[in-house]
Amino acid sequence: MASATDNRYGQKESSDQNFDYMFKILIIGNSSVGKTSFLFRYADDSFTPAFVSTVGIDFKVKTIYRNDKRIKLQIWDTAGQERYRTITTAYYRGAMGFILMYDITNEESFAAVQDWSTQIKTYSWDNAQVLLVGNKCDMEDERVVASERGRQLSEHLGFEYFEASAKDNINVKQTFERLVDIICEKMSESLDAADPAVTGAKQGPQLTEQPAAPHQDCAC
Amino acid sequence: MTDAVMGTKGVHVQSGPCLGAELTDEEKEIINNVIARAEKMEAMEQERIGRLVNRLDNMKKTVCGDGVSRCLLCGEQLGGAGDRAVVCEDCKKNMCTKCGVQTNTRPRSVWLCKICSEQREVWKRSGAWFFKGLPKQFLPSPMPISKPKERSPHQTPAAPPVTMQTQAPVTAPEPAVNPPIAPKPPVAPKPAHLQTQSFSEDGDPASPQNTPVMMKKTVNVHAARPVSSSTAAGLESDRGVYPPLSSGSADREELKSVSPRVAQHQNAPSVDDDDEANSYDSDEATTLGSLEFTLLYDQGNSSLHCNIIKAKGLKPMDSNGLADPYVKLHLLPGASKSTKLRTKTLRNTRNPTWNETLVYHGLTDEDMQRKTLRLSVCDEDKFGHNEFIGETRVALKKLKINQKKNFNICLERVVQTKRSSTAGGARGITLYEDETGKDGSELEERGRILISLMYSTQLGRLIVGVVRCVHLAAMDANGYSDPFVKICLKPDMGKKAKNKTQIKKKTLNPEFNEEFSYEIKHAELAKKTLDISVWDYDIGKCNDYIGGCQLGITAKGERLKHWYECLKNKDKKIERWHTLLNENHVSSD
Repeated sequence: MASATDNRYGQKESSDQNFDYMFKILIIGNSSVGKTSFLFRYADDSFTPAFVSTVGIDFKVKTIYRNDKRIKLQIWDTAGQERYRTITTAYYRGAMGFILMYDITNEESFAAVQDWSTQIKTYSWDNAQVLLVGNKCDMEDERVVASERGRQLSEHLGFEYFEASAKDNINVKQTFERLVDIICEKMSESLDAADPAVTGAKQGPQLTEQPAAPHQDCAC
Repeated sequence: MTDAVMGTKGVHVQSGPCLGAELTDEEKEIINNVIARAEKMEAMEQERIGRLVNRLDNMKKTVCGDGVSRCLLCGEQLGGAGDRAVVCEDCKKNMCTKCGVQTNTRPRSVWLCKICSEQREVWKRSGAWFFKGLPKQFLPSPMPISKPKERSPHQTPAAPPVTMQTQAPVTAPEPAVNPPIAPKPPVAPKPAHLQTQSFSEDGDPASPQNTPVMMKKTVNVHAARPVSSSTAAGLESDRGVYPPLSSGSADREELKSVSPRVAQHQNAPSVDDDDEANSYDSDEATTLGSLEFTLLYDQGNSSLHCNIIKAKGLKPMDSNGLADPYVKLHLLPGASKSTKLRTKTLRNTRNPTWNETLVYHGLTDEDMQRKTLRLSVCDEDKFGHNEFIGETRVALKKLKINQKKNFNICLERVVQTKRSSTAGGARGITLYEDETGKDGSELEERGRILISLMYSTQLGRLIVGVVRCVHLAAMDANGYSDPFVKICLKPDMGKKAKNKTQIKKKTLNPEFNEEFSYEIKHAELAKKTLDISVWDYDIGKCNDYIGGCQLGITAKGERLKHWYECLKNKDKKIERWHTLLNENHVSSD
C-alpha cells in the first residue's frame, strides 16, 4: 500500500485543530523493551542508546495524512515497571489501539506478552485493536525469540505482528500506519453495520457484534 | 555500541513487585505535568467536538420539507413532476438527488441525506463510534491526593490556607465570597436563600470543561459568636424598621465586634456544602458553632484517622443554656449504621474538647476519591431523643495520602430528613436519624471484605483467609446483621469446596480471622474461581444474602490482580480489600 509522506510533526502542546480524526494509541510491554525509544523514533525521528526508565506515563502527538484524511495521533507511552501498574492501566480505556511490545533478546519480556494481553482485555474497550511488536530486531546475534514464535503467539491472541527496530528505524512507521489502518477499518465497519436509524446527535448505532464496554462510567 | 546497550541493561535493575510502593514527590510531579498537558489537549478536543455538534444541530434546524412528498431538506416537490426521490439509508426520509449524498460502501452504494451524512462524520471525527457515545473525560486522576499540587504554583505541597484559597475559585459554581473582603462575610448566608436550584454536576458533553466535577462549594466566613439577648433584640429591631440601612449598620457593627475571629478564619477559610437553601433565619445559621478536627489517610493500612479536637460556640440546646455535645461520623454514600463512629459525650458545655481519634478501616484509594465524610454535632439528652446541633462535610479526595490535614469549619444546619447525598449521587441512601430501622442500600455496593490468599507449595494447598468485613449492609430490623461468609472454589469439587465462617452477631463490621485450605495443584489453580459471599444469619428462616464477589482469571480489576499475585507469588500471603456487590445472588443458603 502506497503511503504518503507524513504531513508534519505534531507539537507537544499542539494547537492544531485542522484534522479529521483523532486516535489514541497506547504502547505497553515489559520495562526496557524499547517502548519510549520506539515512540521517539516515530514522533521525533531520534534515538538515544542510553536507557532512562519512564516515570509513569507520557504522550506525544503526531498528525499524519493517510487515505486522504488527516489523522491526529495521541500516542501514550507507559512505564513497564510493576510499581506503575495502577497508574498506567487507568489510561487503557481511553485508547483505541495498543502496541504490545516485547524484546526479541529478552525471553522474559516475550513470556509476559500473555499477561499484558490479559491486562488489555481487563482494562480497555472490547473493540480496541492490538498489534504485537518484537523490538530490537537489529540485534540478530543476541536474538532469543524466533520470529516464528512471535508470529504464532500473535495469531493465537488474534493480533497482527511486526518485528521492528527503533534503533535502526526498521518497521517503525509501518507499525503505526498499520494500526491506523486497522482502526480506520473498524471505524467504517461500525457505521456501515448501523442498520437502525440514527435518531439523534447523542444516540448512535448499536453494534450487535460488539458487547458493551467492560468499564462503563458510573454516574456519581 | 552493542557493549553500551548491554552495559546499560545490566545497570538497570528492575524493581520487584511492590504494588504498594509510594511514589516520590518528584515522580508525582512528572506524572501530574503529563496529566496537565493531556487535559489541555483534551479541552481543545472537546471544543472541536462541540463545534461539530453545533454545526450538525444547525443543519437540522434548516430542514424545509416533510421527507415524504417534499424533499426533507430543500422542500422541493418530489415525484413525477419534480425531482427523482431517493431514500436516506439512515432516517428513511425522501429527498432529492441534489440534497443527497451517495456513498460507496462495499456491499452496495447507499444514499444518505446531508444531515445523516454529517451525523456519520461527526461520529467518526469525535470518536463516538469507538466509545459508543460522545467521549467523556477519559483522563484519570491516578494520584488524587496530589491533585491540589497540580493547580498550585508551588512545587512543594501548599500550605492549607493557600490550598483552600486556590481550590475555591476553581470549584465554585459562581464567584465565591473571598475571605479577605471583610464587609462581605455577614452577607454570605443570603445567597443560600436565593439558590432555588441545585447546580447540575453533569457537564455538557460538548462543553470544553474537562476538570472533574467536584462538589459545589461556597466559601463562607461565619462569625461564630454568642448572641446575647440584647444584641439579638437590637438586630431584630433594626431589621424590622429600616432593612436597607440596618444592613449596612449591622455589617459595620459585626465587623468591629468579630474582627479577631475574622482574622482567625482568614487563616483557615471554612468550606461548607450548600446543597439546600437554608430555610432558617440567617441569625441561627451563624450561631451553630465551629468544629476543629484533623484527618489522616494511612494508605498502607487502608485506614482513615479522624481526630476530633474540639468545638466552639455551640448552640445552646438545654434549658440551662448549655449542651451535652458529641460528634458522629458517617461515610457517604453508604449505610449510615455501618459507617457510624461516635465520640464520647461531654456534659454541660458549649465549647467541648474531645481530643478523640476515630478510625475507619478498609478504605481504598478509590473510596478516598468518591466518598465524603460527614461530621455531625449532636446534643445528648437522657430523657429524650438526641438533638442535632450542626454538621459539616469533607470530600475525602481533598486529602493527601499519609498527610495529616487540619480543619476548623463552621457548622451548617441540614434538614433532618432521609435523603440522598449529593456527593454520592444515587449510590447510597443516607439515613439521618439513628432511630430509623433497617437501612436501605442501593444496588451495587454492599460492603467490603478483606481476603488473604496464599498457595503453599509445601502443603500443595491454597489457603484462603477471611479476615474481616466492613460497612456491610444492614439486613435486620435492628439496623444490624448477623453476618457470616461462605467461600467456594469452583468448578465444584464436591463438599470439600465449600466452607463457612462462624456467625458474628449484631455487627456490620465483623472480624472473622479464619483460614480455609483447598488441596489443589498449582497448575489447576489458574482454572478455578473463588466464590465469596456474605450472608446474614436468621434463626428459623432463610438467611439473607448481603453481597459477594469472585476471585479468578475471569474477574476484573482488583480481584483479578489479587488472583494474579497469588498465582505468581507462591508461599506468600497477600491480603486485599474487595468490594461486595449484590449482583451475585446465586442461591439461598
